[in-house]
Amino acid sequence: MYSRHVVVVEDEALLRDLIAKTLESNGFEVTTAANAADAARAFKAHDPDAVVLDVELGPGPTGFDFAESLHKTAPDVGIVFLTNLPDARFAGRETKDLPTKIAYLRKSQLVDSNELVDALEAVLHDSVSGNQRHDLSSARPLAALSKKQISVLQLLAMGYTNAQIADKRGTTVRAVEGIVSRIFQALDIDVQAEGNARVEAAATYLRASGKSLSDA
Amino acid sequence: MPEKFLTPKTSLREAINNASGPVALSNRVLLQFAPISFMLVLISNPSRLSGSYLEWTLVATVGLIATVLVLLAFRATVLPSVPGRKPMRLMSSIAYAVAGLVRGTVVYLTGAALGIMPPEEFINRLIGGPLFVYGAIAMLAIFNASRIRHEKTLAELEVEKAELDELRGGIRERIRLQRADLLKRVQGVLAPVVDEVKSQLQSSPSELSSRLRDVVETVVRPLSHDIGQASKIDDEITNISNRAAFATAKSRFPSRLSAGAMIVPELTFFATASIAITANAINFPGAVFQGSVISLAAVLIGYKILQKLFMNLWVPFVIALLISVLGAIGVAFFCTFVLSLFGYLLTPTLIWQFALSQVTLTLLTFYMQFLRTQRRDAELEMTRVVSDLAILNSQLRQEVWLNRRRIASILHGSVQAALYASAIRLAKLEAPTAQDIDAVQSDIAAAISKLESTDGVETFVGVLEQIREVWDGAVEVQLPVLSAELVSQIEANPVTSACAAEVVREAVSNAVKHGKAEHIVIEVEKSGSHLLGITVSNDGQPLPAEVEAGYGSTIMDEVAFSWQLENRGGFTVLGAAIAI
Repeated sequence: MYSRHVVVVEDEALLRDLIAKTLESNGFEVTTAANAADAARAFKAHDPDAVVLDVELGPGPTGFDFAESLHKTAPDVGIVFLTNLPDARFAGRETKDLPTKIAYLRKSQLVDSNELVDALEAVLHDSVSGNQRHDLSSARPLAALSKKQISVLQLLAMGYTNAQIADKRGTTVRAVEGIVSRIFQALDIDVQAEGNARVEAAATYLRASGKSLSDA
Repeated sequence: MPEKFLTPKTSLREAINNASGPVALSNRVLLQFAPISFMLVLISNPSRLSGSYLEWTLVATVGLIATVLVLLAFRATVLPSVPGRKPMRLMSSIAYAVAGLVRGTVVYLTGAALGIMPPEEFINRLIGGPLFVYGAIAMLAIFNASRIRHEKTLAELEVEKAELDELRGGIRERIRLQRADLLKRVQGVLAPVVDEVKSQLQSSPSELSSRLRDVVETVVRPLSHDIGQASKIDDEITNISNRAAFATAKSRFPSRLSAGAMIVPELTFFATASIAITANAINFPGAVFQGSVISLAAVLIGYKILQKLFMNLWVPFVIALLISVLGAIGVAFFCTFVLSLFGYLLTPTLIWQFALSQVTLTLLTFYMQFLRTQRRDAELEMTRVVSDLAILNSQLRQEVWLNRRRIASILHGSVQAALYASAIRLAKLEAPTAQDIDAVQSDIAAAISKLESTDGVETFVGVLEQIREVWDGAVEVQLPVLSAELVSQIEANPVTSACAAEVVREAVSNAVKHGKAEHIVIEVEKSGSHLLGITVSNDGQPLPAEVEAGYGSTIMDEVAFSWQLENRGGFTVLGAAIAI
């Protein structure tokens, strides 16, 4: 007899089924959804206790969009994000914007499926611990940077010049130079050393976000 | 129906500006001034006064040299013929007055020395000289300035157009090669991973799980970024956009002209004044003022009537030219008739000379207007080229963005999912069976095969419906009513469809997240032959500047042709145009 109902929102069928089986074998009743709209329908139909939510769900609303909507309509539902993204900043969000009492697990850290079950139990009992918030881990990539710095670093990694970044952000070139300088400092990049500090910063960002320069 | 070619109007102000601009004293203008100068002397004097053509040719030569020398002196000192110099009206007027006075004096003195110039001619030469110099130089300056601009436009057009075409073709080809190359690389890199999984399955499961995790970290993610990374194509597209601003289109021969627009009363009046006053001073010595006023008024009115009469008559080039020439002869006779009404009679020779001068002036203005018509057409065409290139720029950006997202998401999604799932599944196993091995291999192979598949692409309408459903209960999202025709136009192009969907998703998400909106209205309509207009209005707070300039704006910049955020009637409105 299942005591808790969970909706698993994952656009990849393989992973979705695997997660569902794992949770079912741990006593959860599971409904699966391939995208946010499916999940919304599942919520209306089943009024579940929790959701295991991927962030990148293909075209259409993201997992963050769905969580935002849930926060307004069903604030007591437990949310476990299960995603490739190191933290919310990589999708242009602030970590503080996420609903509280959530667990945030990175797929790459999730070889042991018990960790997912533990995280679900934690969000259902309001007992989320620090190790169930991979997005807050000091060991996560670029933990020292602010959202603004991540945003500038992202543009820098895309090859934009300081002037172009200033134009996009509606600020002065001088302000961008200041941010870039602080980014170099935070990433411990020696601007006096041989080589291009911008390339090194871009490579650091790309590695952190699960990407890399083709020639790196 | 042949295309109509609009001819720009010519103003007196433009005539004066050109007469006082840098082109006026250029070598070209001074050379062209020579035949006009000779023509005036040889047409208006030998038949009226004594002396042979040889003697008057000598007078004309001396007069021309004197005039040009004075103008060259001004050019060398205070009126440099440097491109881009601003018009110097006062100084130019002084130069023409001085040159004209010198011309009149020299012509008179030379004629007097040869015994063919009566003393009473002196005052007439002093009046006519400056008027002739000013009028002739103004005419030639407009003529040449127009030609210079036109030639410059054409040259820029030829070069820019060729380069833009080459660049555009190159970019399209590069996108195609990029995608093919990336897919090849994806498969090339993943194939060994599959082999690795196969061989590692013989070892202990826990080790294999760990190995697979390493694979994810070291192979798939970097590879995924290789595809997702902004490429140099973006820079080249930016270059096109910048260069297109300076591009021009090719010059075309007008198939239909407004016969009236080819007539320029003000300019002909201006040029006639420089000749007629002199002529009247000679013909009607006792009534120079009255004769001049009557003849010039008749010229102006005559051409004005012709201009108005034929303005809406769109005809081929030859017909327009014929109308202008016949019109000029008509004006000459009309002027003669009006003068006769006031008792000022012209001899047949003078009438012939007058008609010839009007035809000459009209041909000059016609040619000038013809060039201006071509130039205007080139400018209009240039605007279209720029617009088309801007659309193309946007479409290529969309394509690059979608390619990037499509392949990267497949890699992040299916391939990573297959590897993660394998890792998780195998970690649970004590000893993998042959079936387990097959399952892992099959999963990864299926994920790789998905790289080349375009199945499962969400439609624009589908995404809109998803957005409404996701926010249902939290925010009221009002979807647009789309006609079947518009839906089919949007969804005929998967790139447009995906980009339009992304714009709406981002706008709605931002409205809720930052604006705390409770009611959102989405509108979609065609806003031009190549643009789709998307408006997302919400009753929330306006987005803070840092949000507007942040992540969302980067996506908007990539997928939208243009976009803006504004407050309108208490609503925050995001308007975006998508190239379609």
